[in-house]
Amino acid sequence: MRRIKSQADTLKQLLEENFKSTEDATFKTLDNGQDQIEMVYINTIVDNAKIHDLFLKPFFEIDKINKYVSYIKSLNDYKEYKNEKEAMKEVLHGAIVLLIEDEALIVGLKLQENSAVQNAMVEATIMGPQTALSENINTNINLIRHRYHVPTLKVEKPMLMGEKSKVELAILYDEQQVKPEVLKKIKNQLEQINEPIIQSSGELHRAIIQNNKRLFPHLMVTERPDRIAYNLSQGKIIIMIEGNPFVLIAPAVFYDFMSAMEDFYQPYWVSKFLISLRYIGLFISLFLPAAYVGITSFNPEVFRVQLAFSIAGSRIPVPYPSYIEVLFMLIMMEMLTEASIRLPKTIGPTATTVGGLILGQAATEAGLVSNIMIIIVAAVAISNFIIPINEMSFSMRVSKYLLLFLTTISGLIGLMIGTIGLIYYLVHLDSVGEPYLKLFFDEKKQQT
Amino acid sequence: MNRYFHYLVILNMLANVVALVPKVLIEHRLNGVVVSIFIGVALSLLFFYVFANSMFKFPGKGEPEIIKAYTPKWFASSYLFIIGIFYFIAAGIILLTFIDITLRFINPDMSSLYTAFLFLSIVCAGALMKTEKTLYALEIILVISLPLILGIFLKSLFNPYLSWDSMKVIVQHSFDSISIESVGAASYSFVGFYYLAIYNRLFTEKVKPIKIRYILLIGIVGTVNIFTSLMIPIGYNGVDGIGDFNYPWFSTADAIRMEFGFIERVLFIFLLLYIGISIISATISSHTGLEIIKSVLPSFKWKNRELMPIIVILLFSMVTILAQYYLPQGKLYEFTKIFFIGLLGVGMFKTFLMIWIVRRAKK
Repeated sequence: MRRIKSQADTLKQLLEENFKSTEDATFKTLDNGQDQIEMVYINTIVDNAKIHDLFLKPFFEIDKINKYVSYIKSLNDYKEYKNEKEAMKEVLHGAIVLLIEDEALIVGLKLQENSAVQNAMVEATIMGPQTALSENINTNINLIRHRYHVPTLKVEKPMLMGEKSKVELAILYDEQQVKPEVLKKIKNQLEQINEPIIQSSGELHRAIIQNNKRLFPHLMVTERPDRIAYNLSQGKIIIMIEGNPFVLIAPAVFYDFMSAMEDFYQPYWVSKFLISLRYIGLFISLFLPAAYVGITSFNPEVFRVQLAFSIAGSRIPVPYPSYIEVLFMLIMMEMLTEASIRLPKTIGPTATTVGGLILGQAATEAGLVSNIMIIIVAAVAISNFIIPINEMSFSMRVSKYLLLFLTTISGLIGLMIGTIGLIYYLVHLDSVGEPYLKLFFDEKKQQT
Repeated sequence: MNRYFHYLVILNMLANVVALVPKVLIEHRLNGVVVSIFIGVALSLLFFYVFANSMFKFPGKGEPEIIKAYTPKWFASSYLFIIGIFYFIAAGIILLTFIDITLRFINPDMSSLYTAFLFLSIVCAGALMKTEKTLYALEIILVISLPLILGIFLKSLFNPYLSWDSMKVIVQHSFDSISIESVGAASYSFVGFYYLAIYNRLFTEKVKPIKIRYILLIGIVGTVNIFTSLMIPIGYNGVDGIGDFNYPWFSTADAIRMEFGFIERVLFIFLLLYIGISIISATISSHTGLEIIKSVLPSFKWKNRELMPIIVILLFSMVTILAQYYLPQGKLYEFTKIFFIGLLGVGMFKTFLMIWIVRRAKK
């Protein structure tokens, strides 16, 4: 009995020390004539509406305190008391601590205001599911379980992320499909993270990958429950964190970033066409600016004479070498893109229209850039957005400048060297031990 | 059979254009080149059969491991060292030739040192990758360029200006004095199987021995390949005219025109594709050489990082850059001829060695 007595007392002392000074902490003493109990909770993160029904009413109705204790223990969210530290953590995560006689009882009564399911914004599809995830981890697991009814689907909540943020983290995988060594690796890497604050999947992604100076995404970030379900069935691991409508999928390979869920919802040839369109877009957005510099400034004889002349003709008023022209226009285009992300929705269209018109029309008339350059920049901008996963399209936006730089200093050779270098780099990457880029992935019998 | 093995075999058939094979064959075009080619094909198919089959008897093991296990130490280390240098020479020849081609056809204004630096930086980075990664890169580059290169070959074949009579002249001289240089040059197209020396480490599954049927298929494909690289330039430029060109295939590609493409001269497509082929070929060769030499040299670590490969590859780069000055195009050509003959000798030696090792392993 002595042990239990000290339990309630030390806990009460600790709670008072820590929470007395906060306005939203509630310390309540209930008294029904015979017995007295104490309730401690933070009223901003618990479901206040339920407190009355769950705790107050029964306390005054049940005459024996033993019965009340066993009633509390039978509640859905009752948690065993382990030690003071755990109890403190639970209080911070929306639990109620009941101090009855000498015993401390903990009941989770978390209320979260962010459990509304949102529409898919980043990865929208024409046909197919329209809703994405919510910002609540339990709602998200619920959404996924409703799409993936398999007993081997495992949900693990191994730890809280971040020393200070202490957000909940969940790992989901299909036990039958997942590769055990990949799972082990992921768990290992998660354990090694020691960032004070982690709030988004992108941040977690950065923390998981040891080599954090990377250009390409190693894990996939998605907001679509259908994509998550599909990836679970492929043996991938889903990493979720609280307060974020995006999850991480590991491991991810290059092709994942080039696929949209739409591909599954379209007829076979249509989806093949769309996929090839995407690769053409990737190709254009990567190579066109560099090829323009390489061809106009180094090897105009590559093109047939008529084309070479018309390009040279449109460059007559331009007073500087082609790479400055390209850089100038590309950077203007990037500015427009960035600005339209950050601008309020009401101003956005105005800014882009004005910017686009001024850049397109006036810059050529002023003789700052050639007409053909405008076409190229437009083609690059449009084809860059055709890459379905945002992360990859951002990476490609950057890689384009590397190719441009190499071509500027060494002509078409530089373009080819850069391309092969890019292939080498992508091939050399690993995503959680799986090769990142490799042709013919889905072959059943893996050969090497 | 593993598909990656096919890629390795195909790679050299494509790379022979850069490795001065057509030039050697064309120099001997009136010295019984046809018979020399057949002799070369027969010899290298024999080497192919013996070497590949004996390597497949040791699944998951590279040549260094096998040689070290079955021969005395002094022999193993000196043999592996020499063989490793051979692979580096192969990579060096391709690089030096392509640097020269680049300077002649694409960027005459660029300094040769800078071009060499560009090529070497990418080849060295590739050679330092893991073995399986080089294969993935090889696959990607081949899948992109192979259809286009085949298309160019076909286009050149169906050109009305191709003179079949000139080619007949070559056949007429089939039995004139046969030269060992052209035998060696012909065998170069087949030596892709030597890469097994390292890449066999990845082929861990036990495979059935290669059948004669497969060897015959390779022989036919290779023969067609060698005859295309010899005959098409002759068909375009004439028996006498072709002798004037240093890089017969690139000059020939410049004779082909695409009427409706927005790139009119096939040369540029050909050049850009061949940059890819020669870089990956040099990467694979130098990677194989690097892995073999690494197995002989002591490992040398600094801050948990293996430094020996980097030292070896830097040495290779330095030698390549120096060779640019001491081995200009004409001398490189003479050197390549010696290399081709050496290739025959090495093939012979390797074949006997492998037969002996397989016998010892059976005991």
